Amino acid sequence: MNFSAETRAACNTAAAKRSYNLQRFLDGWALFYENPVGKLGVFLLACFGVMALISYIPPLIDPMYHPMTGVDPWISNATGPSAKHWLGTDNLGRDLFTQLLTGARIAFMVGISAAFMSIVFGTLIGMIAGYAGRVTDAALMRFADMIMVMPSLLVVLLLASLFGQLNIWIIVLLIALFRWPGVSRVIRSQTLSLKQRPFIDMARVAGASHMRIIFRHILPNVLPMACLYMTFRVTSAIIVEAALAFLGFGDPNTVSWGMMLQWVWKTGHMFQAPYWLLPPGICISLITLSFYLIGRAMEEVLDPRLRKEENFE
Amino acid sequence: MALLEVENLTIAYKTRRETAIAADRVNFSLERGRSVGIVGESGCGKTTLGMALLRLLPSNGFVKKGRVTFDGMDLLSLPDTRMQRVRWKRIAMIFQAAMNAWNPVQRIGDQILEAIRTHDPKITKAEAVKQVEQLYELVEIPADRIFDFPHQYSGGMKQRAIIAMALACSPDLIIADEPTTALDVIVQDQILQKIKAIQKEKNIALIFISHDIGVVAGVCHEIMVMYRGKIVEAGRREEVFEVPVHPYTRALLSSYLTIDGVFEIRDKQSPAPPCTPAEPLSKELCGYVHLCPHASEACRSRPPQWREITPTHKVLCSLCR
Amino acid sequence: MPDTPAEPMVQIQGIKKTYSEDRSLFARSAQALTAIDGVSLCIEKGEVFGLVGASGSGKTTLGRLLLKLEEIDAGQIRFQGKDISGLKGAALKDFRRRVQLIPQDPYQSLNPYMSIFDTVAEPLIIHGIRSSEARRQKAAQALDAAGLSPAADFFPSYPHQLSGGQRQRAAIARAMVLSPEFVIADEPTSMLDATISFTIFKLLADLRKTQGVTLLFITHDLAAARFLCDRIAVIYKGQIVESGLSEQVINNPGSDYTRALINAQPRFSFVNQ
Ligand SMILES: Nc1ncnc2c1ncn2[C@@H]1O[C@H](COP(=O)(O)OP(=O)(O)OP(=O)(O)O)[C@@H](O)[C@H]1O
Ligand SMILES: Nc1ncnc2c1ncn2[C@@H]1O[C@H](COP(=O)(O)OP(=O)(O)OP(=O)(O)O)[C@@H](O)[C@H]1O
Ligand code: SF4
Ligand SMILES: [Mg+2]
Ligand SMILES: [Mg+2]
Repeated sequence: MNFSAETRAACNTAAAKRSYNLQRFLDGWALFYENPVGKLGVFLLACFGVMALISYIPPLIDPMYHPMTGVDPWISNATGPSAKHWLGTDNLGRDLFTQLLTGARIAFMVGISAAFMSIVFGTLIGMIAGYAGRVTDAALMRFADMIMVMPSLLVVLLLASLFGQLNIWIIVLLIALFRWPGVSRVIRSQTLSLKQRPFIDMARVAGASHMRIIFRHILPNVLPMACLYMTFRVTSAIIVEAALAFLGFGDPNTVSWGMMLQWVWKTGHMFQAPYWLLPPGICISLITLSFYLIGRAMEEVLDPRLRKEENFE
Repeated sequence: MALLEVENLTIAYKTRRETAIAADRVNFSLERGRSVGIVGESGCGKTTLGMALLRLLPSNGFVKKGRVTFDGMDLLSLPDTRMQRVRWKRIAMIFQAAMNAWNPVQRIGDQILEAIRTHDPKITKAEAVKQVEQLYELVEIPADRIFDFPHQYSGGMKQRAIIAMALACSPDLIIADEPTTALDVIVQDQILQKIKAIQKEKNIALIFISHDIGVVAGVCHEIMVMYRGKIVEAGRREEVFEVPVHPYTRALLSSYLTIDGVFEIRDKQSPAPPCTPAEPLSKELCGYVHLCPHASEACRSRPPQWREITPTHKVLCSLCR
Repeated sequence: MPDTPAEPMVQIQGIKKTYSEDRSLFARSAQALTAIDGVSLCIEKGEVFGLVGASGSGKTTLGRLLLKLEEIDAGQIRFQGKDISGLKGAALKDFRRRVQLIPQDPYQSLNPYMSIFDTVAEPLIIHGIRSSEARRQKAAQALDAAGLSPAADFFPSYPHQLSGGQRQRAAIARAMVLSPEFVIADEPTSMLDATISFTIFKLLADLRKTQGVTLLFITHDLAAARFLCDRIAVIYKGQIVESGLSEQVINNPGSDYTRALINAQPRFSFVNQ
C-alpha cells in the first residue's frame, strides 16, 4: 500500500468514494493546471475557441461580412484596417477579420477530426498488433512502417493533382490515414507490457473473450496515452492542412488560414499587405503552439515518474 | 557516544491533498557492531526512515524536526558535498528491490567498478578489480562470474552482488531495506547468514528493515516495531519475543507461522506488565485503536504513553496494570 | 458405479514444458530451458494440495499449465477425467467456469480501472448471468464470504483505495463467485505481512470447508503449507522430488532438498520456550 493512513481512512468515507476515473481526472487536471505551460496552452486555446464561436456572428450582422461570398461594394482592392474592417479587406473586398475567425473554426474542425480519426485507427491497430502478437503483429507493423516512410505531403499533392481540388473532408481523411502509424507504435508497446500484467491473465482465467480483454481491460489503460498523442496529432494535422492550402491544393470552398495565405501569395500581396499576411501566419503558429503546450503539460501529468504521490504500483 | 543517534525524527510528505506524517518522533541509537531491525506492515514508513537518515528522501519528502548524529556529525545539517562523502563510504544503503535495478545491458562487474571509481577517482583499474574480487569472495560468488550480465545471475546472486557493492567502501553503517523479500526461503536464509557473518566480522552497525518479523529476529540484536509511522515497541530481541507487550506486536507474533505451527507467545497472560506512567508522546490517540482487542475507553480518550518495562524495553501504549 | 472410488479432480501424467530462451538478446547460449520436466500428480476431490519449492522451480509454470494459460509440450492433464489439451469453444468456457486462480500479487492482479463490483461481477457477465439483480446478489455473497462486508460499501471502490489484504480478498471473491470446483492459489500471501496472511489462510481453509472446493496451494513456505494442506509435493528444478501427507513430509523428509527447505525456515531458538 503506498498511500498514507489518512488517505486510506478518507477513502473509506462514503463521500470520498467517487469513481476512480473521475478522481484521477480531477487530480490530473489539478496537476495540469498548476503547470504554467498547461495554463498558457489552455488560455491560447480558449482564445481560439472564442474566435471560432463568434465567427458565426458577423455574417448575421451584414452579409457583407460573409468570409467567402461577402464583398464590400465600396472597396475594390486590398485595404488596411479601418473601423468597418478591423483587419482590412482582401483584394476582392472581403473582410479579413471574419476570414480569420472562420479560419479558427476550420482549424479546429480539421485538426480535431483528423487527429481523432488517426488516434482511433492508431489505437485500434496498435492494440490488435500488441495483443495478437506473432504474424498479425509483424504484418501490421511492417504496414505501419511503410506508411510512416511514405512522403505523405507528396502523396497528397499527387492525389490532388490527379483528381483536381480536394474536398476538405477528403483532406481530413487523408491526413488521418497518414498519421496513425506513430500512435499505433506507442499503443502497441504499451499493450505489450500490459499483456504481461497479471490482471490480463485473470481475465483469461475467467473466460473473457479476446474482444472483451482488448476493449474492457486494455483500452482503458492505454486511453490516457492515446489522448496525449491526440494533442500532438492536432498540431500536425493543422500544419499539413495549411501547407496543402498554401500550395494551392486546399478546398477552394473553405476559408482556412492556409487558404488565406495562399490568396495573399497568389494575388501578389505578399510584401505589400502585411495586415493580410501576418494574422493567419501568427494564428497558425499560436494554435499549433497551444496544442503542443497542452500536450507537454499532459505528458507531465501522465508520466508516472513526475507524479510520485499517485503511485498505483 | 553511540555511532548513530536519532532523536525525535519526524518526516513528512507533502502531496496536493495533505501533508502526511510518514515517521513520527522516532528515537533510537545504535552502537558499532550492533544491529537493529525495523518491522512493520507495508506502508508504515520503514523505507522513509532509512532514506531520511541518508538524506535521500524523494523531492516532496522532508524532515520536519529532529536530529540525526552519526559519529559526532549532525547529518541533517551537513553540507551536501560532505554528505555525499558520508553516503556509501561511511553509510551504505541496500535499497528495496535494488537487485532489479542492475542495468540490464551492462555487465555487473563493470557497474560495481564504475561505482567504486566514481567515489575514489585515485584508485587504478587493476586495484578496483582486485577489490571487487575480494568482495565477491566475501559474498561467495565465483570470481569468474564477475563480468556476467545481470540476467545471467539468479535472483540470489544479484542480491549478493548488491551486498558486495554496499561493502565496497567498508562502511561503518549499513541500512538494508527488505534485502530478502523477493527471494525464496533457501536463498533468503543464505543471504541472512551472509549479512550476519559480515556484520560481525567487520564490526559494522546494521539497520535491517523488513516486514517479516521472523527474518528480523534471525539477524538483529534489537527490534523496533513500527505502526503507522510510530515506533510502538522497542527492545532487545529476546525481550520483544518473550514478553511482547504492545497489542500490535502480539498480533504480529501470534499470527506468525513457523514450521511447528503458529508462534506461541510464552507470556500468554497479560499484555500489560507493571510499569511507571510517563509523559504522552503527543496529543494524538493510538493509531491501532480500531483493531486492538484491548482498546479501552482510556485509549479512545487519552493518547498512549511511553512505558518502560525494562531499561531496554519500551512500549507506546495506554495499557497498564 | 457405486463402488469405484471418486474420480480425482486433477490427474497429471508426465507433463513437460520447455521454454526456448531466444527471447533474450544477451543470452550466452540459445539453449532451451525445461521448466517442467516430467511431472505426475494426482489431486483428489475436496483436498488442499500443497506444491512447495524454491523460486524458479516451476511452481507458477505448473499452475499456468493446469489453467490452460499455456500448452504442455508432452504428457497429459486430465481434469475430472477429461483431457484438457484439446478444449475449445463451449467446452473451454465450461472449463474456465470450473477452474479459477487466486493470484500472487494483489497489487498487480486487479485492473486499476475497474471498480470492485465490476471486477467481481465480470466472470458472471462472461458466463451469461444476464440479470443485473442476480449479479449484484452473487457478487455481494462472494465479497461477504471473502470477508469484505458489508459488500455494498466495497462495490464502488477501486483497487487503489483498498489495502493489500483487502485487495487479495477481492481477488478471492472474484475467483469464488462462479462457485468453481478447483482453485489454484499461487503464493497468495507472499506480498502481505504476517497478520494479514494468517487471516487469508484461515479464509481459504474456511472456503474449503463451506464450499467444498479443491485447492492447489502453491508456496515456498513450508510452514504455511503445513498449516493449510492435507498433502504436499515438493518440486525442484521442474521435477517432483517428494510427495505425501504434509505431516509426514515435514516430520520425516525423504529428500535432501526438503530438509534444506525445512532448515531454511526462520526459527526462534533464542526464545526459551
Ligand atoms: N513520495 C511520496 N509522497 C507521498 N507519500 C509517500 C511518498 N513515499 C511514500 N509515501 C507514503 O509514506 C508512507 C510510508 O512509506 P514507506 O515507503 O516508507 O513504507 P514502507 O514501510 O517502506 O513500506 P513497504 O513495506 O511497502 O516498503 C506510505 O503511506 C506512503 O504512501
Ligand atoms: N515465459 C517464459 N519464458 C522463458 N522462461 C520462463 C518463462 N516463464 C518461466 N520461465 C522459466 O521457467 C522456470 C520456472 O519458473 P516459474 O515461474 O514456474 O518458477 P516458480 O517456481 O513459480 O518461482 P517463484 O517462486 O519465483 O514464483 C524459471 O527458470 C523461469 O525463468
Ligand atoms: S493504546 Fe490502547 S488501543 Fe492502542 S495498542 Fe495500546 S491498548 Fe490498544
Ligand atoms: Mg519500503
Ligand atoms: Mg511463481
